[in-house]
Amino acid sequence: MEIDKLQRKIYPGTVKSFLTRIRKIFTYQELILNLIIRDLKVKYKGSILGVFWSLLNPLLLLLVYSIAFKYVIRIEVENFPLFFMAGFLPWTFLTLSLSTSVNVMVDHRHLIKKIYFPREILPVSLVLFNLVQFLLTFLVLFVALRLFKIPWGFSLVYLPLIIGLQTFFITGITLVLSSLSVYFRDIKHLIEVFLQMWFWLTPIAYPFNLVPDKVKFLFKFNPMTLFVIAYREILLEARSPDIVLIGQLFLWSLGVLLSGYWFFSKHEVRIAENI
Amino acid sequence: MSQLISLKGVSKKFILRHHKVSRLKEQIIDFLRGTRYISEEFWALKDITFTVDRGETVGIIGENGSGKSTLLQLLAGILVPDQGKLEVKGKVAPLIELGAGFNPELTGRENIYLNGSILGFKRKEIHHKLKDIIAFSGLQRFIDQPVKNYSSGMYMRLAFSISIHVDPDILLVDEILAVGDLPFQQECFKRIQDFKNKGKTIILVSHDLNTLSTFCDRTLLLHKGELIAQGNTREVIARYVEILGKPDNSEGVKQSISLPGSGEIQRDGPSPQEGKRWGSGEIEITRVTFLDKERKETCQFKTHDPFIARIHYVAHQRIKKPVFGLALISEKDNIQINGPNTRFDNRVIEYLEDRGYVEYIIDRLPLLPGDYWLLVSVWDYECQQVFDAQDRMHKFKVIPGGTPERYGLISIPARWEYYGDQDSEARNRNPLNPES
Repeated sequence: MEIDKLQRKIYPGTVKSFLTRIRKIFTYQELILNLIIRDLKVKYKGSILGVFWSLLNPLLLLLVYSIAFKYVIRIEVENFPLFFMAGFLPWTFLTLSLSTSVNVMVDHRHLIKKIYFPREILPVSLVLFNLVQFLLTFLVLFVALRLFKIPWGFSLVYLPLIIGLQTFFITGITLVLSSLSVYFRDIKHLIEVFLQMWFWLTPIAYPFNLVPDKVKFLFKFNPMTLFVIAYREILLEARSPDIVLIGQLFLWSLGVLLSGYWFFSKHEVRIAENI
Repeated sequence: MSQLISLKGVSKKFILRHHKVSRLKEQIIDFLRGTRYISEEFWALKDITFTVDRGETVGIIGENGSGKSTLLQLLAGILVPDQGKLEVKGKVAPLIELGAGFNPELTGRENIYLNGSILGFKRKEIHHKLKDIIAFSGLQRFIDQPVKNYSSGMYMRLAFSISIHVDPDILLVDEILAVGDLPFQQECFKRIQDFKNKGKTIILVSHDLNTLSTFCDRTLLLHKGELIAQGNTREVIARYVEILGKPDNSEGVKQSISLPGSGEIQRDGPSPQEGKRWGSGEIEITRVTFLDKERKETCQFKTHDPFIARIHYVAHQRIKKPVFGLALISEKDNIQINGPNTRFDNRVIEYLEDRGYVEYIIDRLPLLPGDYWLLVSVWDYECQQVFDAQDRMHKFKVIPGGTPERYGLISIPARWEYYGDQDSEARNRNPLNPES
């Protein structure tokens, strides 16, 4: 079996080792798939409403923000529900992945201590599980786009690209957090606070053009701002994101993924004995 | 013969921190205060060198804490050595802790797929073996039920059935044979024998010396992380028994109880370990009382009186399937009389929470007059982790009056028969079966 020749020959930090790792993950695709199926089954077993539950939280928030923006803050945004959802659903993908990644190692510690498998399988399958949920809620968004008679354009071909890049971006962070959580169990509290701050620093509940011009460039250092802008252009304005934006997203996603992977591979071997 | 496993000077260390779970908050506070982080190195394995050829069955023995599990984890690729060179060729399948990858919400069938893929199977391969796995587990009727509804026996059967259908080059077996009832154990033995006959390589960790001598061509003896003997199983076992009995082996004495009460507390000589207590503390034994037939607390019994030892505990967290064990020890010469536990009695405690007590009831106490110690302990189901063990902290007295017998330690329920020479008919009768 090829897996076994690979499993003991990982030298972190080289290009070769990186490629070896990717190959290794592919040999374990069955496990990833089964972990995702397990999570979906456990989550939706016995609930007829299924996907509705994943939508409930964004829908309730949508209600709250709609009231707040219409009657309290009084910012007029065209089609506010769609505007909000186009930013909030990708945001939920991020927060769900990050906040559960700090538990994924501890939750599977009996497995980790008892059997060898590439440890990154756990965070990776967690991100993919959240991706599936994200796509399901996205389907609902498409129905809403029809209802609001927003035109669909050629720009939709960019959607898979942006979703893919966001998945890379999230995977990178998740790899770092899951390996850190082995050493610092209280990191989850930090993450909650951090995600709250990040949410308000990202133009999800408000339009980007409301940000004062002076600090706009600062906001653009926030990759989630870039993602939200891209999603909105594609979905709401039927506009293809410009090449600069896509280039930035590429750099962010691959940069975060690679450094996340590098960090993870440095700590992977110690996970079993520290958890 | 091809070499499948080769270790050259392999060492493994663990860092023992002052807190088991470290918190970022504490680290930051420590850093700001300028306190140095206290950590201690502990070498679990030191300079281990050995090789295993294809087709060999090699046993590993040693007291608890001697590094057996660490060695097995290294072979399985779960841990990596800090020094030395470790090479393992071929597919390794650990048969460690059955059902670790089960999800209680999923059905038996779904868990077969999940567990199979953890062991490195492709969906097709699992599909192929599904029938065999279900058939061997004997759970055809329940296979589409969620595993949470299974009894612990069914759970084990399914898990073992999956592991045994993996077709590895090297099978790692860690104490699994101690699990389950007798027919199940025999099935396990049979499967392992099949593996051996097929020319597979097996590494077997066990406290059961009989198992080792039955299966192993060769045995390694670990002692405090060092490989101190290897070779012929019989000779190595003899060496092991010798080490266990050494009075200066203070660490060993406390750790030599392999199963609650069942192992050897010590072999000879008086023990300096009186009143010793150890364990990780998730469950604490708070009090032990002795009760007579009216369930009144007492410390004095007569031979053949009813005897009840009540063990009060407090569980600081929910613990699944703990095992309570005890041992009766005669104060004179420190001789261990028995070593029962709840698992030997098939008394599975599903889980413990909060407070309560367990009782060990002897209808007719066989002990002869004298002073006796009680060792009490509570373990996890695999008997790998001690939650609390109290060696010789509780004492009771047996006073004369129950029987005139007074030699030795116990009065065995038995009777005498007398046959005179004149009664030849009776002499031919089997006293154990008067009807025949």
